[in-house]
Amino acid sequence: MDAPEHSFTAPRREPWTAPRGLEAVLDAWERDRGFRRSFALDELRAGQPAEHAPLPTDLAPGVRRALEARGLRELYVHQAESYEHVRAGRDVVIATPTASGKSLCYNLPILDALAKDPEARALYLFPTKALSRDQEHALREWMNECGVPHGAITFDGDTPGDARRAARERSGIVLTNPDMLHAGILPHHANWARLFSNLRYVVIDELHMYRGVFGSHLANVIRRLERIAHFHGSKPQFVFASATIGNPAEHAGRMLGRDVALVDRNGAPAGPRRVLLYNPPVVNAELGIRASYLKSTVRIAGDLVREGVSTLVFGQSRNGVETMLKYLRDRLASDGIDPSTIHAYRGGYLPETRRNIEAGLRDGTIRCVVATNALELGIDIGSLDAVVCAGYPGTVAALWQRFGRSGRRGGLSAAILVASSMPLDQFVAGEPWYVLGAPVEEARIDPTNVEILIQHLKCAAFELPFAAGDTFGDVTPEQVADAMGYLERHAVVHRGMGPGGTEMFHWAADAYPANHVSLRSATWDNFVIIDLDGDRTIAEMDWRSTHTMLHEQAIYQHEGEQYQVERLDYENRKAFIRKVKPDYYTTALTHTHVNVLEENERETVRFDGGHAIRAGHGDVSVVEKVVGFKKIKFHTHENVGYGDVHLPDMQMHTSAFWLVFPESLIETLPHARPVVIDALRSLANAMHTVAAAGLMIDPRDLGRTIGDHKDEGAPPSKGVGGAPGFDPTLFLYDSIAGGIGLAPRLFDERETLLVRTRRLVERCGCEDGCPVCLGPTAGVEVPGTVPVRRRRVVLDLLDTLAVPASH
Amino acid sequence: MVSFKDKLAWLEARGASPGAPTPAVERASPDAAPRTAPEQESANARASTLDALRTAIRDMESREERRTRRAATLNETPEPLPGRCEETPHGPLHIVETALEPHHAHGRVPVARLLEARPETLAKLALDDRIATVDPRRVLFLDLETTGLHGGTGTLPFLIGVAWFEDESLRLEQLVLPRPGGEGPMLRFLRDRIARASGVVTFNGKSFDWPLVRTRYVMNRLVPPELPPHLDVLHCARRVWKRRIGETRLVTLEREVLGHYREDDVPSASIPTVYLEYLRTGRLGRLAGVIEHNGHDLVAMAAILARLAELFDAGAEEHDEPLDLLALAEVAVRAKDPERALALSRASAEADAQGATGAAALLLHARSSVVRVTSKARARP
Repeated sequence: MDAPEHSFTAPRREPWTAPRGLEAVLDAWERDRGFRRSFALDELRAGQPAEHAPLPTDLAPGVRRALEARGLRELYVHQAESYEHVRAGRDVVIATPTASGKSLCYNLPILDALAKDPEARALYLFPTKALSRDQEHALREWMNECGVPHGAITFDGDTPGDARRAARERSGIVLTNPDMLHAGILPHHANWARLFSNLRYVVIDELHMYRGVFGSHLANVIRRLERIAHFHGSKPQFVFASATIGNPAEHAGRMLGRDVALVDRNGAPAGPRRVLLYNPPVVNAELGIRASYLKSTVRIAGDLVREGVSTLVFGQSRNGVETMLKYLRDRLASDGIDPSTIHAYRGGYLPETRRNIEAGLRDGTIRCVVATNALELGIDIGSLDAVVCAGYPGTVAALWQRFGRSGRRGGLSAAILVASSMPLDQFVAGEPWYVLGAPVEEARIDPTNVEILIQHLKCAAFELPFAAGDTFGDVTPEQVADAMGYLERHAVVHRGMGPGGTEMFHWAADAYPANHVSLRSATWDNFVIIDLDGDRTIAEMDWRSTHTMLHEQAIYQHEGEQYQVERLDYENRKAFIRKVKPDYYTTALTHTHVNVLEENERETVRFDGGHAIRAGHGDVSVVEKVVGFKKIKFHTHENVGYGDVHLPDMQMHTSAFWLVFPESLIETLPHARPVVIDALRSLANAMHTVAAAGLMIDPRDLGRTIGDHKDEGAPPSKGVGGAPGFDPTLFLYDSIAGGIGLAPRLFDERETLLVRTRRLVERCGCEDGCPVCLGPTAGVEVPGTVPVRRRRVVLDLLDTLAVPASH
Repeated sequence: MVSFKDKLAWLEARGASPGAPTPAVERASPDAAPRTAPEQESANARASTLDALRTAIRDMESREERRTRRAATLNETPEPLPGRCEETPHGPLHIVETALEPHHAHGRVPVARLLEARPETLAKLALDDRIATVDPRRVLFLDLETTGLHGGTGTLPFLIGVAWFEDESLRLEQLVLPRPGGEGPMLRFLRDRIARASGVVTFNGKSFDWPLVRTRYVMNRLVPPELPPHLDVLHCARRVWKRRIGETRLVTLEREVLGHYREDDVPSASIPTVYLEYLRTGRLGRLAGVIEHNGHDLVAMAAILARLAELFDAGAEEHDEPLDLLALAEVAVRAKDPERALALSRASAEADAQGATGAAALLLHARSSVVRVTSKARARP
């Protein structure tokens, strides 16, 4: 970078006057008025000094020596606190930010225990194979230095046969992932008798990753693990480690089915950090199109790297990462910066490649890394001067985790979010404080989701017969008995008498149930999208979205290009597309019918001086069907055609939150009924955005529709726009069959939800509805009336309820 | 709150048991499942819809239950298992015993010919020196029939077949599991049999039968038996016949090598169902056929091993396949027996003087000669 041959041609610098590095870049941005305008947020967060605690006095001598040899003569307070909890036999969750030395929190007490007891065993779970490999490496070094003779072996799909035997027979610490534990270890637990009979500790790192369906599955895998450990005569202690989430103790407690001690006082030092949010400027006001966030990210990262600021760029997808890498290298090549100092980093890299990159970052031969979220997880790259996130990662927790990668122990660092044009990103850009200033979101799981639970009860019955009166974690004996009855009727378990006349349920089927249960069901049933020109796979889409986005003749947008779906091979989960240049886009016409099965709670919502509406939540059945699509002309938004779609229904039982708007209220509004119904649809769209942001979930995990609360048996084809006499009802439902507890949360937050929705509708910068706020228009026009702006109607509706813009 | 039981009923009504094998029990007709409820305008519409749903589910459940009860009734007086029942301190042991005639032949091969095999030959065939300590008179043949081929703790061996020689006669003992949870007596019995054996012979037992047996001991909180030297006939047979015959399943070898054709055999794939049906209904169905199948497997593995040993030691008969002889010669090379390698490769070359096999055999023969000369040279003082 400061190669001598450049010194004559480089612009003259006066290093003793101009600020350098990060500060220079920030200054330059501030001086550039056009650029500065696009920052939706700019604030300085203060750092914190280190808080230390002495090394525990009862440490095994070898472990103490190893610590001291690494120059660790004291611990951070959270490390010392974790050690105490584990030594005292408590289950514990450690929730401190990225790069605060979390692994030592669990490694220290466990190394100490292994040093003192040669028979002791521990099981470590990581969400990815790459993480286990990294930790295996680190653990082995520690074990060597501590003089602990136990091995540490990663057991996953890539482990060769000999190592598998060693893992079973000799290894003191087995590192694996939940999927392998579920399908490869627990169903064969008899081969793992040595591990299970001496199992003292189970470490579950990256706990925040286990949310929603995946988390609900893991909670059940833990129930199975405890059951198996009990069979082999052990009762392991659990140590969870999590990045910052809103409810670590609650989440870990729910995961384990009992209370867990919390360590969240972070003793690691941190320098001050500038937090910025860049929202690319609007380039087409009518369509609400903004400048490319990828290009904006490249510009920002380019400025930083040019000044020698070590920078980490996060992209949302592999494609995005590759694109940014190319742009960035091109951009910086003209400044004489060697392309090899800018690297990509994604999942699927070999451990050696990754370690080279990590080393390069540490010694400065690599100045910028463009990464997917593979780097979000606790991989050791040290700290950098700046992090740039291209796109909001979906949750505040994930954002802070990425931001946490920047931060020098002493000096200033920067964390920059570049908003994409996605609804959630624009919502964040509109209310950065709501998101960045908000407490970090809570992780939710529902281990009692009956669809998930029943699958794991099957796996558990395969692993070990159930006896009458058995529990399953915190599932009661009665519920277990009900479930066994169900499984017996389905001819997978056999009811018989055990010793002493106890009723026993034995697995009795020619099947290996774990093979039919995928813990990460979200990515399980994806459709691949194949470009017919060039015959390559360009993307994947989840099963549900496929119905609306990849039906035949749909216009599919990918990286700014338009494609038409020529054929959808539903059986084989493939969509074949070809590039086109249409003057229209398509939107699917979906009929969603929600049928309330049972109302769990109901409350009246009434703001001061407003009309009352009713809120409720409960169990529902949802039938979704894509019946056709519309062609919408670009720019004019004219309807230029229709088409039919023939795809199977999607049906599920789940839980929903709803708001009932009584007919009497609808009549008080000075608008035609169809216009009001359309406004309700728009309201639902905005509320969906707010709810997804508030619950920190992927917007696709939530569905919405307008229905009628009374009209339960009506066929889905019946519109709601027409006849009076109904009470239109706005439903937001859990898109995951069985529900994972989103609906009751929305019910609890119902008033906040309305207030924030109003704020979003009022403040959105779009003309009259964009995907963020009111969504696409249904194009309702009532003959003989003057068209009204949708935003006006929605606000009139909210006025009738007297929903304030702030609480 | 919707009760757990109701939720289960919904799962059932939807006919969804994700990932479950298709239940063998006939399911209520889908029409019984509530699809749409009658449309009602009254305030209690929702409640009555729910009632309708519940009624439908109850109907369906009670129909299911009736069926289950019928099965349960049958379960109470199941048809008696074949063989004799011995009361042991740990429960009943069902055992089917058979003694074969001393001259019994499976297809072309008399089973007792195995008694003439030298332990060293068996060790070479198995490429395992430990087998050299095995006395063929005291080997135990072992074969399981199970409720599935997946392995794991939920797979149950419901039939443990063992066989051993008493003088010239092969004796079969087949232990039938009366019900899940009643494995104690058969596992104890098996442990005794293994303790008396000088070696265990299986077909694919290294990866399937033995791990499963071990698992059953752990699951029943019994100490697994110490396994004496273990010879897996599948591995030996694969080395010799894979090239000529292609696949080396037991029934295929039985046909191709022994010339034995089974009649009315219960196909392996349907064996789990036979036993699971017995558990559900109490009717034996084709269980006797499964026991016979298992008996055939035991005898066949003994005969195949006898044939292998015979070929290896004698070789070179008129009708021997040159490809088999070549493969045996290769086994001899790997087993560090240059004498046999030489003899077998020569026999192969002679049997196929013109063909490619013969050429390959000649090449091997030449290499073996060199090996023999050098090893002799090394042996000289």
